[in-house]
Amino acid sequence: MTRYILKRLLMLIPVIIGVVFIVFTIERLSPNDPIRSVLGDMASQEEVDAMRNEMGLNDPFFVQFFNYAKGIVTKFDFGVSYVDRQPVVEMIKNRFPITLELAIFSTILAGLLGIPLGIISAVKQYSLLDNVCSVLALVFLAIPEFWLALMLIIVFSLHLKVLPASGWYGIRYMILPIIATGTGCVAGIMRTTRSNMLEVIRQDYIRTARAKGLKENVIIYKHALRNALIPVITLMGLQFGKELGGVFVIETIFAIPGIGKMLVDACSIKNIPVVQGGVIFIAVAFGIVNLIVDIVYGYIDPRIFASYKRKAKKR
Amino acid sequence: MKKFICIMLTALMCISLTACGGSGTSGSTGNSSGSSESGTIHRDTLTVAIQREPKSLIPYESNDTGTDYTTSQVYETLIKYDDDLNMIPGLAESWEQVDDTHYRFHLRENVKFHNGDDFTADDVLYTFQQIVNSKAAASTMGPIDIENCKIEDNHTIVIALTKAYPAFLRLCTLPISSIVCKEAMEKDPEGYAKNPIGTGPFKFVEWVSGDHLTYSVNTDWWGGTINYDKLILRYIPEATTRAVEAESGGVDIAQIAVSDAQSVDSNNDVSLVTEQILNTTYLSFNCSIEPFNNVKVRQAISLAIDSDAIVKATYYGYANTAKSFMASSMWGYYDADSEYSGYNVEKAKELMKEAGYENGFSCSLVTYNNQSMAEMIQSYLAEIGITVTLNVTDFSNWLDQLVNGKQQLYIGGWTTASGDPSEAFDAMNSANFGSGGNRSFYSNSEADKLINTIDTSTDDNTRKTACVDLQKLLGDECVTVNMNDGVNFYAVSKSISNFKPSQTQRCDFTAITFAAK
Repeated sequence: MTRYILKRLLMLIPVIIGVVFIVFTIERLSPNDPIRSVLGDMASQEEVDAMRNEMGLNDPFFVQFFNYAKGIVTKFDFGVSYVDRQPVVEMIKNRFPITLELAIFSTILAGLLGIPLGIISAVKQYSLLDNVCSVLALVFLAIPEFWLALMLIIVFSLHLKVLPASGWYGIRYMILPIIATGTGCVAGIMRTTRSNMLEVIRQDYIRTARAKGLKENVIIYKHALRNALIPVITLMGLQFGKELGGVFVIETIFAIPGIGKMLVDACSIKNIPVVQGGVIFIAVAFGIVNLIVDIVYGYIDPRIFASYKRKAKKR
Repeated sequence: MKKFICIMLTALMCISLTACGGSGTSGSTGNSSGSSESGTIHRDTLTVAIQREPKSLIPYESNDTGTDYTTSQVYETLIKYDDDLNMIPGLAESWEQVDDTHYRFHLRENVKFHNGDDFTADDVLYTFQQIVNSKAAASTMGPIDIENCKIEDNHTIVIALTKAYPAFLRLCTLPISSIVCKEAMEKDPEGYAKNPIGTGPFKFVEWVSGDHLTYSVNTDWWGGTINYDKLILRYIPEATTRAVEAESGGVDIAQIAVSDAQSVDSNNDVSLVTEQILNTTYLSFNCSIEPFNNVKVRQAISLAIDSDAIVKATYYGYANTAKSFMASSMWGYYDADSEYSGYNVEKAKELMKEAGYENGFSCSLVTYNNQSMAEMIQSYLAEIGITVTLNVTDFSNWLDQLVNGKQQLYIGGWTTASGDPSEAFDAMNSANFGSGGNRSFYSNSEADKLINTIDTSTDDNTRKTACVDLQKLLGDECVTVNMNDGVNFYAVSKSISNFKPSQTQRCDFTAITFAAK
């Protein structure tokens, strides 16, 4: 197991190098002058040129890339924000926990809604309940999350005045952003649960369990669900990884100071170090989340680890 | 499996406990209130939703609205503006012009910085030394001759310029000229940048980047008493969210967009406050390329566009149509009422024919925040045969195009933060192409001559005459097709009085009083 984890971690290194190079290249190929955006339209060309020199932006491309990569490897230095000179690592450190909370709770919400809906749909296949659940899931999938976010704000903050419209200062502030983020994932989880449950409840061992007189609830939740959930957990893990980097719309609308909003603000003024640092961080985080999902997958389904051990013995 | 689920649930519970904690501000309006001895209501907190974060907490390090807005709570300038844009004492009680290039300031006594240090002429000289070396402020503050600036005593200083520059006094109202504490800055410049110290009505407490800034009231402020203890500026980039926060009581005051103005106006819990600002929005051209280097083409375009209708449609009646490149409340403003500023499609077609473009032409129009306006302009110009392709882009790309002369038509705006016509007409000076401010790449020797008079003449009448003549010339030349005078919109809780937004876009929160709920 340890070898497997180490191997996966080592495989992340070329991925990170590739991401760093691609992001670095794209930012420098972009036509606009980032320093002009940062200093504002009233800064003179001399002032812009002076800051470009100070930031090393007039150096050749590979010199800039080498210096940047060296900074990351030797000092874990992703540069400083062009705007307020704050180290990018500090910015990410301050904002990541907030995005992490949002991603975790919205994934849990998606699971809490999607899994029961999927089970109901599977158990009551082709019934009215099944159709209603499917329609609901499709509605959640079709609604753009930014629209849902604004509607939630208008209904719950403006008209009902029961929940705040923005910020991230406690449980009350988390409710609307979590709903807006989580409902989009419900459809995928529900449909995956449904199709896997349908497959599992047709298995012979389920028929055997019924023949032995076990209660239906026990059969569904103790025997069928465990096997059906394996791909669902994989899906939830991937959704979670996606949300770590993809909740920028929600964070902007709800003014949540997470990684997504940081990236939106940085992109709009071409704050290159922040964009680079943020994207690299998300790529790494996604890679690590995938690794964790694979490990969890192995624990849930012992056959996975058994197959690793068999392969290792054969070598 | 059960063990695994238990471990996961425990971990989730721990995370949720940290979430329950909730750091920083609750974002709600004043938590408790009481009456002072005089009967005015006193509250804990005033919360304001702002559109932009600062780029720096040091005033001369950045010249942008977000920084101005936030630093102007902590720092003060030598001179301020009253509601009618008249210069009034700030940290300078009085001033006089010694000669064309020297200004003497008599500084206010018994003023202290937030750390207890006395405010003296040393701090003023130090600040101007930093300004001269600052990438963001040096070119804005005019030709300061720092070597010949002289401290006469603890509260008197003479600022020297390298040449006559009558705009200088008005530039001393800009937030980038705010006075910093020399001793604190020299002792720990990095610490100062994170914990700024000024003489202003509010003391800096914290900046949670991406979220909010907190200030506590300076109870020793020379300017008077403030009716609350804490000021929170919450950064909410989404305009609708800011409006909803104000309407739902989440914040006391919010800067809002024009699209939310009508909704706020009809809400019983908040008032809509509008303030005309020192800014105009306009359609302009790249006058260095064909066909826009032809004055008849520009005049035709001006006549083909009904600016009144566009402004009414895009600002719902809350803004006036601009009659000049300058904001109408500025010193030196003149309504040129050019014959080309009306709406006359037939005359526009004749001018196009005279210019040799009877069949029209194709061009592009770039904008970053005025899509509705751009679409209306596109349909107006179609009537005289001009096919406009819209390029709605982000600010960075828009600015890049304008600075490098890649645009054909563009919608832009000009903000004259100092209120002085020199700053306004920088944008028409042929020495300032591109990054200097002249994004229309307009070149006219007569205009340059008038701009030079405005920049250097120390006689107000001569300057004013030059301003008038220049505005007449620009009106006839149609360098810009003026749209609207800039307006800022605020949603203000009805429990608040004496909120004073300023034409310079820096709001005064010190005079706010609260009604009993």
